[in-house]
Amino acid sequence: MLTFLLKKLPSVVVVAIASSLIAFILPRMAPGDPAVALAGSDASPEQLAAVREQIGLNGPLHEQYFHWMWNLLHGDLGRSFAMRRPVSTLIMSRLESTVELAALALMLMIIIGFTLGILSATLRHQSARAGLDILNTICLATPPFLTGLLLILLLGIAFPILPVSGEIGLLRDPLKGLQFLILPAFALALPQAAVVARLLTTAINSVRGEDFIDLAKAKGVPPGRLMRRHLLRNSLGPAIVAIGLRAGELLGGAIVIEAIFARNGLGQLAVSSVQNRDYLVLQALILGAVLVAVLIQLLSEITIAALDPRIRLES
Amino acid sequence: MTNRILPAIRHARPIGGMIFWAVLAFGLCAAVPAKAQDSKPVRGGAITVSQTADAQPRNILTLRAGNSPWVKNVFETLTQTDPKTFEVKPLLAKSWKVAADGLSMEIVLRDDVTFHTGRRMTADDVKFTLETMALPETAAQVGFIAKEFQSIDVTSPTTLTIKFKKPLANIFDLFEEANVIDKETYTKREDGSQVIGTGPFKFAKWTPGASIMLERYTGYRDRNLPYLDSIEFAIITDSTASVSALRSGRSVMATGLSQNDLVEFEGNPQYQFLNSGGAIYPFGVNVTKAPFDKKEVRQALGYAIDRQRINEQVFGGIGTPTDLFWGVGSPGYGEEQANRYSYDPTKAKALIEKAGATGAKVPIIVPSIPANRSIFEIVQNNLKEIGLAPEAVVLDVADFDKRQVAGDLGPAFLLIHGQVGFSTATLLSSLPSLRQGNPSGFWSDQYVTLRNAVTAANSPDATDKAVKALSDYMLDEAFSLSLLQTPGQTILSDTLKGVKATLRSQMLYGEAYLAE
Amino acid sequence: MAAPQSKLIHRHWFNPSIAGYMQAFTTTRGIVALTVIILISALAFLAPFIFPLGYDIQSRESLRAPSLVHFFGTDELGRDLFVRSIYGLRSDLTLVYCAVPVSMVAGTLLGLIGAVSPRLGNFVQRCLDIIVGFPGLILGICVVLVLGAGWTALLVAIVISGLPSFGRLARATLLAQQQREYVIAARTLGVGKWQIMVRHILPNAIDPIIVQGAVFVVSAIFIEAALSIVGLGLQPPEPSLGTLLNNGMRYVSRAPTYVLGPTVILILVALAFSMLADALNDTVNRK
Repeated sequence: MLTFLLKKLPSVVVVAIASSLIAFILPRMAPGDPAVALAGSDASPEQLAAVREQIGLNGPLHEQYFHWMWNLLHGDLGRSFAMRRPVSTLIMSRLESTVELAALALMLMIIIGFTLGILSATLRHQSARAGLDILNTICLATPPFLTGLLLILLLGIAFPILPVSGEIGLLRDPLKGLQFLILPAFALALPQAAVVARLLTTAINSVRGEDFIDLAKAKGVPPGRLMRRHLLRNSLGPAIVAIGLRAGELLGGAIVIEAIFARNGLGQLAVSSVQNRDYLVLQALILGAVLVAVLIQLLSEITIAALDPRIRLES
Repeated sequence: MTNRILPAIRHARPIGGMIFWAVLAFGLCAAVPAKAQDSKPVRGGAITVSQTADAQPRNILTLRAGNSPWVKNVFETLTQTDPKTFEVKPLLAKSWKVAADGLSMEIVLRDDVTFHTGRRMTADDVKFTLETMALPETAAQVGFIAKEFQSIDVTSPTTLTIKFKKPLANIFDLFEEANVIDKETYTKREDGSQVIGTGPFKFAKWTPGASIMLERYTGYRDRNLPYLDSIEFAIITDSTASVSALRSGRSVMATGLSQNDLVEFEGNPQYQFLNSGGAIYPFGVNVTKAPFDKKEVRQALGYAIDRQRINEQVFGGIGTPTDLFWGVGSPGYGEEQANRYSYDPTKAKALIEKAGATGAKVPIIVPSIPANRSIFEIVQNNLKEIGLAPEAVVLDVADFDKRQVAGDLGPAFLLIHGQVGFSTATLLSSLPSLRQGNPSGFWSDQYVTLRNAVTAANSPDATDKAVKALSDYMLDEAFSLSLLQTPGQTILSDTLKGVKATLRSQMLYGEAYLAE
Repeated sequence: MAAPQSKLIHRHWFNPSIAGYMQAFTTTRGIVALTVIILISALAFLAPFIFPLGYDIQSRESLRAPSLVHFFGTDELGRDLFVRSIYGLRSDLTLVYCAVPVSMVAGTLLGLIGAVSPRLGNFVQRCLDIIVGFPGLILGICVVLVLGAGWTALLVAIVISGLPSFGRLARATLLAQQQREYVIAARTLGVGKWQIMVRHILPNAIDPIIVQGAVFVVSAIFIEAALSIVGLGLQPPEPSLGTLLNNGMRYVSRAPTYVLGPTVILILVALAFSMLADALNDTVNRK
């Protein structure tokens, strides 16, 4: 595995450089100007120019890029234009919120997804399967912001059982933190879980047709063991790929969920930095997100290999 | 103590809440036999207020949405205008005197004002504040007024004399926005580490994008004020989430919400509204671009748009449909002029046909703000009725703002100006729609003459006449038409009393308290 | 392990598959799915003939509840929500029918390119990693900001955001199949790389990709909806399901039925496409 990781290192570096370039260029291609966020929409052209000068936005692009990269290699992410604080401080203050949300959503996604997936692959009853199918599709087709809003109206306002606005860090108060976390995590996980369930069912059904399953059945393997040792193990590949993909998407989905539950996570930071054209914050976030996604991808490749000895990591 | 718990009751489950109420009621009966309905202010308590935009401690001296909810509690100004009577009242200034020729002004300051650092405020700080207002990088809307100063002379720690280059009728618009800053710490304000003013609350902590914390300033000159111990301003950008925060009891007050989100609270006795400031929604065209180079076409737009329906369907009827930019009821605001362009599609269509503009394509730039998009939907419908072919060019706010600053918005545009409350003389130079370099590309000798007459007017009668003459000219040229003005509405729970607002919708919590 | 391989060898792209997929439409599920899809597509694309007056008839009757005149009620500007939902469906189906196939084909090919050149495959995979890593909505917003709000920007945003999922599924199949004996056998027999990819690996990748395609139809509509939240979707007054959902959310406590119509249509579309995927899948597995 170590050789596998070492072999992957150059490509990870290439990805990092490529995404740093994209993260640098793409936001700058969009029309707008970070100085406008500070100077305001009522400013005169003269005032805007003075603000631009003051925050140091002038200078050729390549110079700005290399300056940024140089500082990055020295652990300095720069300073936010709009918030006037070091980018690293801003990100660190938001990290806990998003990590907790994503982690709980990931857990819920796996639990709900596997339960639904295995159930609909094993249920013999035609109408029960159809019922599960419809439930699954409704979960899939309801946008997370709608699920979120319904949960807020139901459990936060009509029957005020859970808090629906704001957050408390799990590190500060685990019990209260969880109360704040559960609804947004659920709203975030539900459609993703439906995707996982669907892929798992499909995979199980297609493995079921293979001969070794018939063989196992003929040998008299009990259904539970058949599911665990034979069907599930051989169907996990696509599900894990999907979970890997979804985990990356959680941050994207978190943007909307964070907004309606008034959580201050990285998603909200990303949105506000796009709106303010706060380039340095946005660059750091994009680069970080890409690197995390690459790690998750490597992790899921390793997991698939561990599950299926036919795949060799070195390939 | 009880008032700290009150907001928490709404968090509690119904049954728990009921028991709590029973205990509380019993306790109250035992302790206070008779209690007046409108209670006396009580010391103590912490509240949470939601706001939709993040704070910008860098921009203490400009009018910004993210600062309006809190800034006037940390900072104070020389004068403060009563939003109801428009009377200018002293705050940090004790008194002032304008010279007979209108070219200088003497100001006497209070001598008992201290900054949150403990240092006494002096005339030097006021001078520094007014000079900073004039700097371009401050980007203050009313900074241009401070540029008309000849000199500021500090004559003693509590007195100063300002000399003007020309008589300034709108000097109080400047004072109203000039939050007196501490010249020793001003440079450290940007990251929120030292935001030092003289107001009843100290700026304790800023978590960018998340919250602002204000704490009681114990050294405030009025020992009884403020009543509250602390105020947390939670930054909740999503309006649905702000409403949830209010309804679930997390916050007792929500600022910056749109009319749309507020309608559902109307008639609910648990909440009350506070109206102040507001926004102007103009529809402008570029007079150098076809077909708007023809005056008839521009006037036709005035008759084509159903302002009444915009008011009802977009703003729930709280706005005032008006052709004018000036404050409703301010000197020179004429009712006849305000309704000069009433909805008359037949007349509009005839004007368009006469100008030969039927079928002309009209791209309209719209900032991606829900209210503006909704207004656009009605406007484009109205314009289709009279034979034009409108199309939307929706720009995100950063892009839009940059183009508005540059005055480059294409042939037609729907804007929003949050400057209700400034005097007409100020609006002429501070509103992007009207100032020099406006996106309509409109500037003429007659316009300049009429504008100067308004700025120079030094009596109510003269102002009235000058503003009416200017309005007539602007309505005839129709380069930018105000569609309507809407008041800024803020909603608060009825447990919170004594909150006030300035003329420009900045909130004042100095005398606010939680009712028992 | 001999039998499944021989089965897989048979399932190559051309003759038997097409016929095999056609079999899907003989099952109840397949018939229902296809009927629903044809019906909603017909309703959507014939909308200009069914409702020739268009989707922008405004009136003073704002936020009315559903009635016989207005099946879904009216919106804030007094427009008929049923008509707007159908026209909105038309916008979304246009987007979906244009963008999803492009994304599917392009993504799959990008994923399978590793069969031809492992180095190129790795490189492409890393590029897809960058797209995945981009926080979802942010990529969409950047694309729309650069290209300017409108149809093109939405299409590009949807195609790009679909690429990684198709690419990775294809690659997962590729990695799994590459080590199988029949592929090794084919390679030793001197079968060309392209041929191995097209004839042996592609058919195995098709199933999960078709399922993902159906799933992605719904994601595509969500992308459209998310971009209209930030006001960067289709330009007003043109409706889309996303715009209707977002506007409806703003009135959810005053006119709860506003959001209902578009949601029901969205769920119907999603149900139909996933049933279609299941039907195809069942048929494929039965062969």
